[in-house]
Amino acid sequence: MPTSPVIKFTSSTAISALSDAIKSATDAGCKTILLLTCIDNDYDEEQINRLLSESALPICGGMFAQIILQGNAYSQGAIVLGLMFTAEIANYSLLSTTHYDLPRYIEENSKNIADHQNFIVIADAFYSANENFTDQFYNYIGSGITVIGGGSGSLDFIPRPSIYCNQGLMSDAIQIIGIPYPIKNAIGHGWEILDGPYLVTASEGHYVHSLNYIPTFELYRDAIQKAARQTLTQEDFFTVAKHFPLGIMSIDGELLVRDPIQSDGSYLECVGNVPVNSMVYLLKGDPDSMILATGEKAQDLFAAGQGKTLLLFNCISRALFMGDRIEHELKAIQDRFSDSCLVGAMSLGEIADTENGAIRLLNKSTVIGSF
Amino acid sequence: MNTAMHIMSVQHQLLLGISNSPDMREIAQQFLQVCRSRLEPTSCHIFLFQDAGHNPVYEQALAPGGNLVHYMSLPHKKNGQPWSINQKLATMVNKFFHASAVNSMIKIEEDLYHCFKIGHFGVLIIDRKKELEQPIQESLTPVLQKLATSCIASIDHQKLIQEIKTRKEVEEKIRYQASHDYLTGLCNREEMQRRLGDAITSCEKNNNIGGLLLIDLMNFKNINDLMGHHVGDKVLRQIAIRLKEIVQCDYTVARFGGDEFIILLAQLACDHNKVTAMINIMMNRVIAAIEEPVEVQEGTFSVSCFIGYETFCDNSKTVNDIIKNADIAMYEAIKRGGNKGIPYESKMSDALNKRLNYTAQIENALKNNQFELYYQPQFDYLQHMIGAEALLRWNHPVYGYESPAVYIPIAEESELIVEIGAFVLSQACKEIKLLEKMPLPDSFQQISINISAKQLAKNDFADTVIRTIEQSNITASRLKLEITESIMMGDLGQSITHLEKLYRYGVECAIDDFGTGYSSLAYLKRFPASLLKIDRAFICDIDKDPSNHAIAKMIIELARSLKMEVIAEGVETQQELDCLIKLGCYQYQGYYFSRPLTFNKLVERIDTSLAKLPLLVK
Repeated sequence: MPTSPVIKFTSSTAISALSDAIKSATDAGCKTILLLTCIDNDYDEEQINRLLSESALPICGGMFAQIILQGNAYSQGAIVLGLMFTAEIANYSLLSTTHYDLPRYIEENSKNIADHQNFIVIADAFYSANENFTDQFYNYIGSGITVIGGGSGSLDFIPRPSIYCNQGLMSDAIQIIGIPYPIKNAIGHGWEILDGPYLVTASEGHYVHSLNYIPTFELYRDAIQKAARQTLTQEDFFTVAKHFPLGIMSIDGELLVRDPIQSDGSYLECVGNVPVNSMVYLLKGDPDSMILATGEKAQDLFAAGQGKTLLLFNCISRALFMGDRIEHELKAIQDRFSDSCLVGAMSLGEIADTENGAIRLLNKSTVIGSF
Repeated sequence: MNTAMHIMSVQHQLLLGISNSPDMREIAQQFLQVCRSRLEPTSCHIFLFQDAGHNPVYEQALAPGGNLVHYMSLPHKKNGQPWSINQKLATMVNKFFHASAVNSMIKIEEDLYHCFKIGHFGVLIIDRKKELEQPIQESLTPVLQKLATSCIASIDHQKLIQEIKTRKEVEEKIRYQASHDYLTGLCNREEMQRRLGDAITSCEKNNNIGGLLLIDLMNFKNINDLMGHHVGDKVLRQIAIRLKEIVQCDYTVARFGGDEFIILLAQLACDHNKVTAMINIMMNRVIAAIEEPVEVQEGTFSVSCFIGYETFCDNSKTVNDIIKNADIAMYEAIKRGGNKGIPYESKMSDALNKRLNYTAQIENALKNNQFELYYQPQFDYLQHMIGAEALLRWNHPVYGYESPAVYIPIAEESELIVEIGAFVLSQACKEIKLLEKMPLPDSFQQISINISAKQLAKNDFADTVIRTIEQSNITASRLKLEITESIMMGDLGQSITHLEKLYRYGVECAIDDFGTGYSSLAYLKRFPASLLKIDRAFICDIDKDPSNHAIAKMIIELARSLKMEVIAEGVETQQELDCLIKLGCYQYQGYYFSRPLTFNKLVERIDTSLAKLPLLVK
């Protein structure tokens, strides 16, 4: 059984504060450093790279829109999670820029985590083929695994290095951390069907071109208008769309949420793939129901057995949707775990294994892990 | 919530997920990916009927028995263990496959394995934690039918590709075998000739010189004879490997015949001197490589070689000319016995032509009775004539009396020697008949004739001799056959049979030139010979040469212990005679007593000896 991690928090954006926190965690005897920091800390890249390369311990983690400590979300600051065991870290970098055999690349770079069954995944949210990577990784590592994780990066949608490793900051990368203890996880989103189903009749990766043979934006706009009496234009797209995600219906009746982030007036671009021929629904949310649903998931996780580390990846768009009420959701989770300190990040997309075992990229969801 | 549209969308996407690729792996991979995407399994698998080479098949699946074999899984492992070696899964799949149902759901621990048959030769397994709803399962029926059809098309395609590949391989193998020697893997004669033709053309075109080395192995036949052909083959293979190592890819090595090899050196250089130097280097390397002892399981063997070579620079010489010339040079090298590798010179052809011409002349001589027999008398220590050896003489119409040393070796290369032997036998018997009609000294016993190896090898040799004796109506004991010691090194079985038959008939046998061959004493015991003839080489200066003295003494004692008589050949001096008497040899032949005589002269000599001993006339 793992011992409780060392958790050091600083609200400061200074690298020195981060450095002190890392040192403090190291002095406390931890064996692996997991960093969760805010993008808005705006660390100098050279300084942070030096700090990382000087570390005597393995370092992992990412920069996120917000970080979470207990029931609170912070837009600035850093959390140093000092794990009391040695985690194996596999970094996969330069994913977009090289033509290579991805399965072979994964196999060659995963040797140190090949025997693990429990993983934390931190993915650069702006690497467009994250889902292809997680599919190939699952093909390689096999079933019977548990995964939690999320997408690092900024809400301004400007790609930048946002993943921490001993060689410095990485971008266009995915980091997989092998945890030598079982992770229990719980996944929820709380979104409900508003309208649909619609058949995805044309799509390419993240881009949904048509639903029911109608340009997606047109159908989406009309459906929102009809079902929620809300108008939608290209100009206010992001403001309105955050309330009305799409949901891909699975064969088991589960919804895989897809967050539309932009449109050209014809297609919709989502965070994550929307396969052609899939059935999608227009979703709506109610903060109270969502908080309730999250609390139930946290309760289920607690009932399954409390670990020493409680790690949360919560979608930043939930915060954008709920506003201040997001902290109610965070408290709803923390309140279930009296003996553990909740740490985590508000991420751009979440990663977890589904009920059937495969690794999925989630949107607007909550992924809680306990180990 | 699985509405009809949802079900149709799943079915549609799965149908679209069946690739048109002819590659079975691609079909399976793509289909399983789509299954992963739409059916959300924990894992999915395909098992197929496969042949011994792990290639999917379908026709064989119709035969009873036989099991499916794991083909592909996504993901590849469970809990770190590859699905490909999961026996539980394989057993479950095959149990389902042999049952009659086309689909089934089997629960193992927490997993639900949804099994679907792919035609009559495969199974698709969708492993989930939750059961696939029945409408979804039903909707897979046309999908699996299409998948089966695509699989069959792919298998047929692969089979066709394999057949084409196999045919090409077979054609290539046939082409290779047609142009290569099966034992050594070297080019064969035909291929070498073809390459030589190309080399001639290239040399003419590029204005440079090529060379052809013909290598003949010496002492190789003994290996085959003594150890067997299987050992000889091993030795040949090793030599072939050595030659290939010397030549490498630059030039061509071929096995030309039994123990003959050819090295073709195409486009060596433009300068003759340089070419000669290069060829000399190559020959030295070849000789060194061949003379290095060959180690095989049965022992270590040494062979040597002689090499003849010819050069070419244009098409004035044909392929056959070049090979023939190299062959002539090689034979010349063997004949001379000195330098092991020599170039062809045109005078060698002259000599050979003369030789061939000689053969025709020998034939002619036989037809035109140009041969005659001379007789060299044999004496005992009391100077009594005890017999005579018949010696062949040829009075050539142009060259006069030719030495037998010239034409006998030529005749031995062909069946002419048999014809010559038949003449000698016949003529000797006729002349014995004439001798029998006249008074002969008591001491006079037989006329000896020389028998060649080829005569003795004939199946009807003994019968021929008996028939000739009978036709000549002579006493069998008046004829003696002389066999050289070297014949005893060959196949003795038949020879001994012939001689034993003749011995019983009354014809005795002598071993000629004893001491010069490599006969085994065991063979000597088996031979029905009554006389050993000590070769002249050991008689020469026997009184002065201790080695000859010792050897002659040994032969005399050997003959005595084998109860054989002994006669010394080539006695030329009194001293030699005295020495031989002291050693216990009492019969002699040589210039000291008489040169070879014509038959008439022999008769005169007999008359003279009778005149000296009137009381001893028979």
